[in-house]
Amino acid sequence: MSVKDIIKTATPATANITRGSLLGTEAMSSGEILSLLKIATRMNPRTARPLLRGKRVLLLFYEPSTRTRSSFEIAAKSLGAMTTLVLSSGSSVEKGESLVDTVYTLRAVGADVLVIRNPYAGAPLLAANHLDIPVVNAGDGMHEHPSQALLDAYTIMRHRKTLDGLHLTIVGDIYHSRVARSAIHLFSKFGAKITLCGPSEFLPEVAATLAKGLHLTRSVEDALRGAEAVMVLRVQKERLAGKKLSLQDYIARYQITTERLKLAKRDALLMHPGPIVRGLELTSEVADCPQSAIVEEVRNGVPVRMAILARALGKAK
Amino acid sequence: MDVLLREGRVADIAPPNKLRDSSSGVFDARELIVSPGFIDLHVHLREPGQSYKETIASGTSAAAAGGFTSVCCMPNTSPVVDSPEWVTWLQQRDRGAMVNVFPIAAATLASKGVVLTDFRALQRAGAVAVSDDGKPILNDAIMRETLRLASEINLPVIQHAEDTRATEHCSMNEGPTSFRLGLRGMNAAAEASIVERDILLAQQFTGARLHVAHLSTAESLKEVRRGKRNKVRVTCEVTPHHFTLLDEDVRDYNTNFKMNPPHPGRVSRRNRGRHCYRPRPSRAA
Repeated sequence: MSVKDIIKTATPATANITRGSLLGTEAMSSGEILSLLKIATRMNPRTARPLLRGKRVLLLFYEPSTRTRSSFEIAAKSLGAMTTLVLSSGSSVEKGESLVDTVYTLRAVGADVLVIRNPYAGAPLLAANHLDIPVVNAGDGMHEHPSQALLDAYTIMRHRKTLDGLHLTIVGDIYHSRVARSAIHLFSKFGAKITLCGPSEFLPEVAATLAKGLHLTRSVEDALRGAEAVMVLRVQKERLAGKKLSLQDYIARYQITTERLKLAKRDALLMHPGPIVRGLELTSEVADCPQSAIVEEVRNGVPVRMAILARALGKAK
Repeated sequence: MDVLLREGRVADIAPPNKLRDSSSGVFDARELIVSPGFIDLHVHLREPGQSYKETIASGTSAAAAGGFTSVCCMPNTSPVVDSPEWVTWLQQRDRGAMVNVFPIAAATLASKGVVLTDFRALQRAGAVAVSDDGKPILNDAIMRETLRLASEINLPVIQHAEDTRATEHCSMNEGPTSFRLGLRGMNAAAEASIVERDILLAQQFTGARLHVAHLSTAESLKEVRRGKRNKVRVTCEVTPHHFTLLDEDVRDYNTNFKMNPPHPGRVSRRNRGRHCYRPRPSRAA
């Protein structure tokens, strides 16, 4: 038995992941992404046909969420689906029920699609390997948040005809960010010029290996210069505790201010996956400025998630 | 070649049909590998207390099937093998061992790293080394005392070299794969820093014998070479899976490849391979 054989026998088959599952942007083709976004343009939350009537959308959230959760729920209901939300707190997860048993249970009560958010990277893949229904990743640990990347792509395309060659800058705690990883995978498929910026505590050199053509810089001014879209990431105060970098240092060196934003292209989009912390990663002025697409991103989350669910259940090409 | 076995030992080796004593039975060994029994210095037989993982019988059967006639088993069982009574228990016939079992006893009580065990008594009961394997002995003073007392009775000290303060919540090697998967990765320094410190401590005691368990990084091997140049009696072992598998093989969260120490990255394995020729790690385990 060669080493390759050993690896093969020890690797579970991923061929049994149900069609329509959305586990991450890494494995999506640019064609798939564009067709999904096209479906989203035809989705109107207020006037959509009930494509998912009779379908049961199960939302399984092990982590807090405002945007993603309500967005998926409204998306599902706008298409006529029945939704149920299971939070880990107040569920049998507190009694020690495993993830696999939990998803088997939800399948048994009639879930047609499972939307899952979990603090462990790989949890949606584990669920998908065990189920015969599509699984949609609503965020798994530090790994991926594909629906966020998709709604960000959707948002950018409403201001720019194509994603090709986009100059995108991502600033903040990239190491811990599933939003950053999903965005990097997605936009790099379109030949985007992606600049990552942050202190070494939040942006290790190895980040450059994630996709082709990534550029790393420690200077926020260099990062912003010429950017067409600036994605700002939340900084968790707790993650700075005990590090050489203090909160004040971070703010001094990386906070997005009106002055700094001027370095980007004139109509550059200012984006943030939320929740924002005014006065930390960005100033209040920047959050509310005309270039800010923060609220628009949230709004766009609904048609994008409608498209994701419709495609998952085979109700849209 | 023909090999003559008498009373369980090799009595003679001669060219075919040239053996002087051919009165006993003949075993046709053509196309087979004939070798002295291998010794595995580092196994986990998981008894007492964890027989759902392995038993002495099952583990030693596997050893025998692979040509290993002696194994040294680690004490991180439930309870930890930290007393002469448990060392004796492991060697009793009732355990059903298929090969020779040489117990390694814990260096500290319950391997908590606080109170040293009675090395002399453990050695008298049959322990061939002490180790808190599964965990490192992090405290400098405790490690120093361990090396000192062990050196007095020529007992090897085996260290699981991992700075657990730096590897909390880490599940694989730090590198492009861990970054892509969104998993916290262990840095090579977490192993090498402990190896370096242990060698510095061992240098202070003549006759101290330090053995680095499952060494997995080029950086650690450099320290071992430096220690040998400084006349420290330091040895190390490398596992087959660390030679053959990489952190990239983890792909898609396959926990079949989850190991501690973790599988290395491509560059580290190549560098370690380069070092492996001069001098070699002392053992494969």
